[in-house]
Amino acid sequence: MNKEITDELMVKWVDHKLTATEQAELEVILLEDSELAGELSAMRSVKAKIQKEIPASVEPPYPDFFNNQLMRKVMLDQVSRLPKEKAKRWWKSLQWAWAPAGAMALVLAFLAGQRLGQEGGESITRSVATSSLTSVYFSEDSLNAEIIPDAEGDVSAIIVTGLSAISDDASFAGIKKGELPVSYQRAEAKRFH
Amino acid sequence: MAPVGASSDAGLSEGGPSDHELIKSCQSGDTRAFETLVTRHRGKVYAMVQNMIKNEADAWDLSQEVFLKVWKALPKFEARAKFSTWLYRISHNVVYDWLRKRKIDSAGEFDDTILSEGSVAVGSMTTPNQDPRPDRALENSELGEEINAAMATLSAEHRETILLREVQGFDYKEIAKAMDCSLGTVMSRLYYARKKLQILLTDEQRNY
Repeated sequence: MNKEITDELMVKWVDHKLTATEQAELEVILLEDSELAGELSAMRSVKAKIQKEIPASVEPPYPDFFNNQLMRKVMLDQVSRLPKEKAKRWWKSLQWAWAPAGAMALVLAFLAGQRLGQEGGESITRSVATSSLTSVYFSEDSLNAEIIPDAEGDVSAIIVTGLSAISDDASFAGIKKGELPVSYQRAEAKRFH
Repeated sequence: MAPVGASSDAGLSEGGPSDHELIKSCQSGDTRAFETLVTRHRGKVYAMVQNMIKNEADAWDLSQEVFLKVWKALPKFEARAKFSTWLYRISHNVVYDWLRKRKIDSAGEFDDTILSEGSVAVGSMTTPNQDPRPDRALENSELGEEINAAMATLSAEHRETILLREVQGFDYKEIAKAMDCSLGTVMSRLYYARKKLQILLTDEQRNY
């Protein structure tokens, strides 16, 4: 007979776990080996001694301290895990809002895109207008203009020539020369004399 | 003879909540339920670890480690599994990790001093110690000494198989689960361990 099967039968015999068939098989083996029966009985006796002498349960020294120490470690573990779990719970609590939030984000992105497109268009028009300032029109034919563009500063200087002298009677913003403030007239007189 | 110092019956709920009820409470974060579970099973875990490594201080620390791992793994524990088998599986892993570490620390063959009572692992945590306890009666009795000496000659795997079967009363399948091995391996280990113990203990008795 296979040795593994014999070993298994012997183990089961010691534990009183043999079925009737297995018992019959073992008896055949025992007939062939007379020493085996004694060996088996000795094994059963050793099992009984172990069960008698080795306790299945022994309280650790200072059992209360054992619990206190352990629970302190458990608390520390709980505290260390708290922020992660909180974040997880918070994230999970928002699960219902994912779909509407996604839709809203799409709408906002679309609107922002639209607006950017418009602003971009305007600035392009402005820049075209600035850079395309090539001529200036006057109502009087005697006037000329020189345009000096400055691309870096985004400005253009216009120098107008052919202007006639400003008459003393000319009024600016509805104020005639004689009507200028006295302090201004004194300052002007000081400057020229 | 019931050894003095052994806890009455760590595994039974005796009117209190069952292990599975306590586990459910633990899974929802109830630490008091966990403490009840610890109080119920600490004696068995400590006895098992102590019998495996034969060092009281380290057995105390390792039992703490076992329960801390249990606490951390409890959310994954499924109710259809048997708690005691699962608990011993964790104890098995903790003990073997410790034995492996000891083996590496000793940088060579398996260190037999593990089985000597006075040795303390390098870097072991501070653990309360006390004078010999009543359950030490086992070691003081002639038969107790013989059994301890015979058990010490077994490999860790054979010793654990014997302890789970003869002392904790696990069936073959439970031993296989706790030790993460096949049923055939369990039967083989049981046979060879018993045979060795039978030879050693019979010889000892003949000498007296």
